[in-house]
Amino acid sequence: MLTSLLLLGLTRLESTLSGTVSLPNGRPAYQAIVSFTGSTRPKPGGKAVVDQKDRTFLPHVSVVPVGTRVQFPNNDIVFHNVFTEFNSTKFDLGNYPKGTSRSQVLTRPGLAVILCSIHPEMCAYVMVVDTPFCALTDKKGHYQISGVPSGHYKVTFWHESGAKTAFDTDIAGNAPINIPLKK
Amino acid sequence: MIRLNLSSKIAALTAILLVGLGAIMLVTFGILSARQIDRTIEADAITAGRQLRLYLNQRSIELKNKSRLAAEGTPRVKTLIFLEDIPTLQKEIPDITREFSVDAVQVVSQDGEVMGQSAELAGIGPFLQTQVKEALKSGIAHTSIVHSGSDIYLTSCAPVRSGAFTRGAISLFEKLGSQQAMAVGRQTGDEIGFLVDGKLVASSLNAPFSVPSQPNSPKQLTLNGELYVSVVQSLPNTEASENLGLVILRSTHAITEPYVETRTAFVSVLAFSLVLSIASGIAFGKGIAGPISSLAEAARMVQEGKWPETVKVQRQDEIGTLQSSFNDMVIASRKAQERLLAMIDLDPLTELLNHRSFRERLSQEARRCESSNSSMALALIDVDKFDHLNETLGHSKGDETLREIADVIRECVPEYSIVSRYAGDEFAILLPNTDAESIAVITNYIRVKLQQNRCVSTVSVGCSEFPKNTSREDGLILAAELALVRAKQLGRNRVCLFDAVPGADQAADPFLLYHSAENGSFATIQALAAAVDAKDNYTNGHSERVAKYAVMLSTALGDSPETVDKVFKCGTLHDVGKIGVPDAILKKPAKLDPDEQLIMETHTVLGELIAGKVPQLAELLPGVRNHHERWDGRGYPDGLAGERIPYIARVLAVADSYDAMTSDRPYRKGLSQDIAIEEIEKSSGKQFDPHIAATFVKLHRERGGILE
Repeated sequence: MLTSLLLLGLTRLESTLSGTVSLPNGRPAYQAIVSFTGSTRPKPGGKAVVDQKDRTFLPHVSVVPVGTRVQFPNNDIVFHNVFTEFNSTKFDLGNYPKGTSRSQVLTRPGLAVILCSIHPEMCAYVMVVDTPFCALTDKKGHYQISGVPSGHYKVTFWHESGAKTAFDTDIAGNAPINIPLKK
Repeated sequence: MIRLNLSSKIAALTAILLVGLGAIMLVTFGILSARQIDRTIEADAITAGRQLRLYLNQRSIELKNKSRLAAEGTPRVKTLIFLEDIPTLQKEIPDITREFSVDAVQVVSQDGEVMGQSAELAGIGPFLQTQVKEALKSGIAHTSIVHSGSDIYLTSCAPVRSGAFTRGAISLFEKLGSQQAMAVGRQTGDEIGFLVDGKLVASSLNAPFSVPSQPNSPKQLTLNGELYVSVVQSLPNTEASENLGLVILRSTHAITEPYVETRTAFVSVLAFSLVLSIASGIAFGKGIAGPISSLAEAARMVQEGKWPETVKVQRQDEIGTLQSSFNDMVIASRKAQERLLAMIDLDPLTELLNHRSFRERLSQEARRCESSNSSMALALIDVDKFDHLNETLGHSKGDETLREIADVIRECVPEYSIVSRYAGDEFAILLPNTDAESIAVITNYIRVKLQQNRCVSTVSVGCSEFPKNTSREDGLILAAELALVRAKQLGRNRVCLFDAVPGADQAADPFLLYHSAENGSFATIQALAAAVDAKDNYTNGHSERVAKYAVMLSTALGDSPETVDKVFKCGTLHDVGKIGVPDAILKKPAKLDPDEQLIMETHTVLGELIAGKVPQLAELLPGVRNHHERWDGRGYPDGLAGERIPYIARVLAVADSYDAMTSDRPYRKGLSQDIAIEEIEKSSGKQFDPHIAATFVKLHRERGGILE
């Protein structure tokens, strides 16, 4: 209640951003990444998990602020390997058996394509953003980010289909920002 | 022109037939096998094309799998596509190429834009985009064959996906070059080439070759001395606009080999049969030619006048028939010839040698006598008064008499005698190694024998001996004739030797004796004629002048010297009969009355009688007897007309009349020459032979009077 009051109290200073992201074909973009990069830097020490089960990375798409440690537990019944070829965040956690976990701190912004060298069909995306204001869309393509201070932001959208966009905007108020993605 | 004997001809004919048959069979076999080869090759080539297309499809599937692997199993590429990191991707291209052992790689974005590709693909055709789009749209790998410039690639494009989303595509390219052509060709054992726009761009052969322009219509071509059939087919899985093709070269060697082997075997069999047939042809030919050439040899002998031995007949066939027929023919001919030859030498009536063969034998014997210094004797037997016998008893009785005499002669002479019918009524016997006296004994025996047989006729015989009487064979005959004449003179029916002929002891040569006898007789008659002339003053020199005119006329008529000689003798003797005409008539100084005229006319017959007493003057008798005959047949003594009057008599008639007309007679003066000629001209065709009269007139006029 206090928190909500606090939040309410801050409403004039901080906006809750929401909107809908749609793909070029008009359908809602599921698991699209929305990030607002402004002057606010994210606090390091965050944690995230990309699980491995049934030869699948879960979640398929994640968005994390810079400095987040991502855990890659092997909850499957087979060996897995976790690596990325991305230049900025390049790592290889090696092969490890089920029940074990390895982690990696992602320190540079950008998209990390997480792959398993044993199972090439396995693929996960971890978007590392240099902002705390980031979100994934739900199945309806809806996103919501709260506590975004007013100011000038660079808005970035990305979707697995390759659809992406980026633009600058000034944030003030809670007006929804709907983003139609173009190819 | 080469002359071949029969056996060679038969062998050659067999060989030609066999070669011809073989050639026809070879040609037929060649045509059939060529057609079969063509069909087989065409079918094979098309089958091969099908197999190769299957093979290429197989390769496509492999490449498709590879491309799928490249799209899904290469995290690095995947990441780069997801990140759309084009520069890095471009750098990665050679590595990918190596990794998948392909010739080229192309990576495109989900929008179909090229993110990175091998340098070789710079000239890649638009067809690829279609394929890529198809792959991007369907999310399924697609394969095809494309070309970049003159390079043909088998390509497979696989989409790179992220979850449900296609993020790009990766295409792998396998170049279809010589290596691949060889690999492809190995599948069917053919030579393979790849075509772009109908032009050869790569092949399993090093050398370039021409390519048929029409697809699926096989063409033959020779390459490196080997015959190929080439078929063009479109490459599978290509866009029509790409116009990519596959050419298959199938060696005909493997297909034609069985045919070639069969043909070689056939030719060998043919050659063997040829040798065999020539050999058997020669053998067969000899079997025929041998008997035929021996027959030909025998026929040549017949032609040369020899008689060949009987040909041995061994065969039962036509040749055997020919041989036996030939033998029969030779035997028949031989008999016929022998009979004919015998007939040539024999007199058919008496079956003694005839005159001709006797003369031959005489010559032979004469030569033999000369060489062996031996002698031989000849007897001429003349039938006395044979003409009289023919006239009184008939010719058949005459022939019978001759046969009878011939039988007696044959009976009486020794075996080695040569007996002939020498003339119509004259026989000759020649006895080698015999003298005249011996033959006289033999012939006398014949003469006696004939009388004992009561033969209707007697014979006179003249005998001579060689070389005692003469050194010539015709002299031997003449001597015998002279002896015969002597026998006749002595009263016939006797045998007379040449030695008995008067003068034979002085003139050993019968020719000399003959001529002296003849000339002696003539001189006697000349003397008689002169005596006639002398008896009648008016006719003084008449015979001499007639002889002179007659000779002139005979010469002008173109007669032979012998005839002219006869004319002279006859002219001299023509009035010899006047010796028997009484002086009262001969010298009567007036015209003769009919009875006196008849007596006067007998001088012709009388003349013949007188001259006839001298055998040597026998040939003159017709002239003497008939010199008063007229051309119109009204003359005397025989009333002959035209050319039945002996020639000499006709000549003498003109000469005699002319002299008679121009001479003075007791009862008239002689006519002038011109008038006499006119008279002769007028009487031409009546009294005189027109031709002879005309010749005399012409002669007289040319000379301007004969006397001059």
